Amino acid sequence: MFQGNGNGRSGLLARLYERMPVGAKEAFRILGALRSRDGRANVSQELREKSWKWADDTMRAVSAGMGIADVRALFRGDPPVEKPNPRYKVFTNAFFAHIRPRYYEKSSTKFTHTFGLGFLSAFTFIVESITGIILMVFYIPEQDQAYQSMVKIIAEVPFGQLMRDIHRVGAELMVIFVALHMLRVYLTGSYKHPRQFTWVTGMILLLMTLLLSYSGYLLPWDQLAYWAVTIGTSMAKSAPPKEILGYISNLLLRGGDTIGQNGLLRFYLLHVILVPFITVILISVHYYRVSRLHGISLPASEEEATDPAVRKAAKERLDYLPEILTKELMWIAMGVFAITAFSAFTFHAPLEHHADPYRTPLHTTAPWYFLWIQGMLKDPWVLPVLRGIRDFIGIDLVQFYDSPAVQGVILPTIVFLVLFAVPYIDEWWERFRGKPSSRQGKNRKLGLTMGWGAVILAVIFSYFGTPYFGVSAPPAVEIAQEFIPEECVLPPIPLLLDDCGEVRRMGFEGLPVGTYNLSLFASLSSDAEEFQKMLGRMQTRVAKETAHAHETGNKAGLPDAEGFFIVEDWQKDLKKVTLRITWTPKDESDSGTYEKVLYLHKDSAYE
Amino acid sequence: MTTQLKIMVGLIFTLLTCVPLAVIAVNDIGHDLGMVSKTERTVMQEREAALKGREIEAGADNYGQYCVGCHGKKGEGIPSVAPAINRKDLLDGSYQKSIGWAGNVTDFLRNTVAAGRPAQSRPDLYTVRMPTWSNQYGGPMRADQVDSLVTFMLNWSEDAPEIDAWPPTAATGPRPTPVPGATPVPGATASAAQKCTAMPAQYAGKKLPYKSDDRTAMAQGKQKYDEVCAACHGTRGRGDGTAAAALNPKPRNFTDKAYMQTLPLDCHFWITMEGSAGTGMAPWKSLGEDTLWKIILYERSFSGVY
Repeated sequence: MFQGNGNGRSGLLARLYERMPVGAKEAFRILGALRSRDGRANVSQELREKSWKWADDTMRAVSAGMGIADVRALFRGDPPVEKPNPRYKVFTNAFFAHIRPRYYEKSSTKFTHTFGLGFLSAFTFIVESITGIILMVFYIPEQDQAYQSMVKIIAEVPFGQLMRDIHRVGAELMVIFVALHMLRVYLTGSYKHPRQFTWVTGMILLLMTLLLSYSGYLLPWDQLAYWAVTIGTSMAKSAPPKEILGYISNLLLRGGDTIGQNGLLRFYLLHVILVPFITVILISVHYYRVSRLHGISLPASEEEATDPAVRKAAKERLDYLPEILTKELMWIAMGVFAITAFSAFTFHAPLEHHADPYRTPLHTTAPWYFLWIQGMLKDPWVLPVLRGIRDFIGIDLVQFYDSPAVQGVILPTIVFLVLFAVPYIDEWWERFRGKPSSRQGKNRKLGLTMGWGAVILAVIFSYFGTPYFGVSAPPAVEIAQEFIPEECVLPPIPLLLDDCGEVRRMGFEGLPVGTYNLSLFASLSSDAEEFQKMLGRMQTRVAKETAHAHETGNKAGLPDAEGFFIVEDWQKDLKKVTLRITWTPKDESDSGTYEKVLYLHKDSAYE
Repeated sequence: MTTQLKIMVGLIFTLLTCVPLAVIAVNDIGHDLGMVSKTERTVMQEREAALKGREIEAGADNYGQYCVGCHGKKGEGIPSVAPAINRKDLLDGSYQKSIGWAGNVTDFLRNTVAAGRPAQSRPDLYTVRMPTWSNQYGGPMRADQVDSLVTFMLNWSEDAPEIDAWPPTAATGPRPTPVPGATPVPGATASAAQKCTAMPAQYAGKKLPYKSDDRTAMAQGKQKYDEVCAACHGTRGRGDGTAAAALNPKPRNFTDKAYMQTLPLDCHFWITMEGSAGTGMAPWKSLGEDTLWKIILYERSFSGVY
């Protein structure tokens, strides 16, 4: 275009062309080439190659080393395209991949060996972090506003209740997964050499998980929160020496004599800053040891097999890319679906009445994972056994054992210390016996028995910790609590719905106004209405106490008890429900009457 | 599982996750999405209503604990004790307008409940001064309790009767000055003998129509006592009810055996019927004689003196 024959004007253009930037020259070249058919074909060919290279380079940058063809092959399950295998580059170049192993040993990925519990623990932690940050936007850690902000999250924030439900479900699952993970590691002997210290970091993570869950318990500032945490911190209060350690730890946790604004802020900061921070660091240490140092343990029977072929097969490599990555993505998709659907359709986190320091709920319990500690405080076995030992052998442990400091603080601390030391105790025991270390169940009969024994004991003591065992208010109060509990009762098993009692479930419409003498509902025809059947069940309970009083000569139960159930219209859409039980007073201090009042609004929807 | 199958399953579950999310979206913001007609409540609005209902329940509970004694079971007021508060002008804002209150009704109620009144508004009509209730000002209620109480009161709005609680009277002269004098200390022994000399003849010799161990009557008496009397005389009859702080002289302590010995049943009945001049004790005739006897039966059980 500009190739003139040297005359003045063309010479000027040529000089101008010489001075043009390279990019402009290129543009003129392409424009020139477009004039012919062949040229156009060349240009489009050139463009295709360049854009492919650009895309490929971008992919290499994003995937930290793999080109498009390789990423495609990866997700199709094809072998790598380039050589050397670019999939391994990722692990040295990329930040997020560098903590993951390049390959897993094949047998360690068997589902029935690990049940994916470590993965699930980490998964729930991430779920908690995401939902937790969203909840933090709306939550106010202030004594007079915390509860109101919970109400707002449920009633005004779109997806607010879902976030709260997922956060609650995730929290319970995290405790469950972490505990089961620990049990699995114990039962497969995976804590043994060389993984002892990994177990210790795992124990710290267990404590952090419990602390995360427990510190989150207080934040809604409802009755459940307030009293569960009051119980927990009162145990800290009895830590010996009570005057120093107990006093200080109580003061540090509660920020005062009782839990108030200071305590709430402290638990909030523990929950959202300190404990998550420690947890993230400890997860990193824990996982680094698993992925980079020792790998996931192999099934003991294969690792210790006498046949070298079995041992070799167990150690066959399974590349992280793509085998494990796609598996994890699949699990994440399934996990997110399960937890979302469960929270959306089935489980709703309870919100009880506003925290009231002057109204102690009837049966206050610790969260389910601490029930065993509460159970130790009222178990029926240990003290009689110790008394027997004192009386027959003469060793007096009763004095030592019979104090909340020992049962509530010292013994749980010892339990946790022993758990920390499990791998080292085990190592010492093997050396003491002089047998070679083995992870197989058949060589660890004592260890397995102790493990399962501990699980069974934990379950039994947790049962002792529930209100179903060994707690009794006066009988009339118990009857009222059964039908009209003060708060909806949270079952001691996680992820079950709370129970608001029969009367609330009957609902505003189901309670016709009137005064009902329960004794008239003692025997009902089978086609009686649901309401009448409920009155019948109340009468059965009252009659049971009367019979009990009769049997025990008025020492227990309620002599000649009568029950009345009264429903009044109280206000617009509000009914007043009274359950009144009267009996013959047993002594001077016995009033002979008990009343439980419930106000029930039409909309309040207890299910 | 092959890689492709795993990816497939993962994708299917990712898509499935959209189902609960879509359901929640319709539940929570169905109006904005146009999926729920504006005339219907969304699930989130139902939750909001449920929580408001529970707040009203909590308010009713507080009302039953603190307010019934003076303002009556359903806010209808008790003559010569405290005005009706379920009345229309108070709840629709016209009363607030008439006194020049610039805020809204909720604020007015909340402030009145929280801070009470520094002096009796109409000593000629009502004997009890509204005490402070918020723990911010030394009362027993937390901020959330005051709020729920106000929500409960506002629930009267719809069918509130028109009552003139502040009728102008001829006697609206200067405010009667409180008589300075010895404050009877609750629990201190005094004698009722002097007071009972003024008892009209028609009361003399009246006797309890119930036996002291009649527990049905006792239970009924207790219920009424807790509703009406406990605010001043305390749930345990010690004269230490929540409203007692505002009263001078202090309400009678029924557990004081020595005093109760000097108070014959007929005199007790007379005071309960007609009230007691110079004190906050209102006449309770309106409850009916039978109810009053049952209350007296219960009151007497505190000291065991019949």
